[in-house]
Amino acid sequence: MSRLLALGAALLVAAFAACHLLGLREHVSVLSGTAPPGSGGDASLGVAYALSWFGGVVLAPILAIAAGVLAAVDRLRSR
Amino acid sequence: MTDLSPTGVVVRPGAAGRLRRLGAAALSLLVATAVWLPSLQLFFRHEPGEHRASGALSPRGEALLAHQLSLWDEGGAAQDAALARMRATNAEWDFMGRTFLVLGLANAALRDPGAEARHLAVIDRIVDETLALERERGMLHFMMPYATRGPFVQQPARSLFVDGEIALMLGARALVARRADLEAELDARVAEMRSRMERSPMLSAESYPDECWTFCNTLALGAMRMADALRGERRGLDLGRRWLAAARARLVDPRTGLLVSSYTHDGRILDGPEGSSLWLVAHALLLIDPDFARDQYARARRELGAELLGFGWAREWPRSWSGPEDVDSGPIVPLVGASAGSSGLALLGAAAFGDAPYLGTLLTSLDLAAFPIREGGRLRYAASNQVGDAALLYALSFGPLWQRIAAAGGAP
Repeated sequence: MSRLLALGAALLVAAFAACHLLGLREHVSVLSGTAPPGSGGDASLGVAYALSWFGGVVLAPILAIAAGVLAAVDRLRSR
Repeated sequence: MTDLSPTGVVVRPGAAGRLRRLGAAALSLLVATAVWLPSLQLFFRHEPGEHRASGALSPRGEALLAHQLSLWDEGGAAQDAALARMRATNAEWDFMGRTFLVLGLANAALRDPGAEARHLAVIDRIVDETLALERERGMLHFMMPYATRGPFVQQPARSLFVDGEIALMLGARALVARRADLEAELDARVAEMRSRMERSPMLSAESYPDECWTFCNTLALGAMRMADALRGERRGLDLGRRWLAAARARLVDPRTGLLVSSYTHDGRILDGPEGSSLWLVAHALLLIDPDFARDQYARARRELGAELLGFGWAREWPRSWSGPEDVDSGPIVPLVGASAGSSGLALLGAAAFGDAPYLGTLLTSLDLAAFPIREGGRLRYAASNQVGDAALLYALSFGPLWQRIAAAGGAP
């Protein structure tokens, strides 16, 4: 289970990294109803970036900490 | 073999093991949430002294200023693109972005006399271009399409939204350094606004057909107070006090004690207390009745302001008033009711009323949820736009302009 949680955390961070490297940060201007600079803008890209950001900074650390807690508990039990 | 669960249900050992593991996972997730959520703010914590009453801007303010200046310094494509992107959604944003930037630049010039010439040059460029656009394309250029849905009650049609903010830009410019042609324009605007407000039963002029806004009327009064300071008069203050008496009698929401945001020419309330208006209204009323302004801020803080785990935000509507999500509120986050428009202008309220703790939590939220982009010494927010960034610059620079009005002997 702890591996599953850690994998979830890694996937969330990877999703955010991918969105960031694809340059989607500019697209979050759609959140204020403003088209991104330099393009017509696809609202879903901005929403995807925002979701990946919150996944990366809010959910991923929770999953990672939980994985650590669980792994520590399992180790203590197995002694 | 089987186990008996505490409820008497027979559970196979494999299933019991899975349940234990799931329980342990759920518990660890709870522990992790309890550890992480209160810690999250530490990674987005604002610097101390983000808003200073005088002297240099904070590093964040300087970086915002640098970005805004770059748009107008470099002119051409970057500026046109930033304005066009906003105009595609709301022409008002183009106009208000100019107002907030001029106010921010005026404050920045008063804070740093060494930069006055540079800031005045940009102010003049903005003001001259705004006046030219209004002259060539009319007031509708800066208004939303519904401005043509019907006739203004007072004819010939004029919008206090446009007149008031142009007057505010002109007054701010003159309070930094006088320019005769612009002062003549300021006097003409002030005279026109005063005449229209005096002719209205509510001492309020329309921004849109049969639609008056406390936002626009208090900013217009702010411009009149600037004219007072420049001329050594108190006519703006006198009208402001009478406007406030009328507003207290008819424009206060009885449940919250907050001023409503819009009403008809004869005083029928249209929209109730609205965060995207109230924070700015309270800051403008500092020039008319500081005690009432502080009371409005305190009420807005109670009814609209919220803080949790080091993050701050503001609601668009109090819980007792059901209002829509619209172009003023911006997107509203479900459950907590956080409004982008209200939270953005709450920064101005918090700065103007010296509410450093709330300002700090709002800035923490801004760094988490508005996606700052730093390029060199410049700062902008990806989730925002030019008007949002300019409003934040105005909030962080707030102080010297209002102080200059008071110092000119016009303190209420």
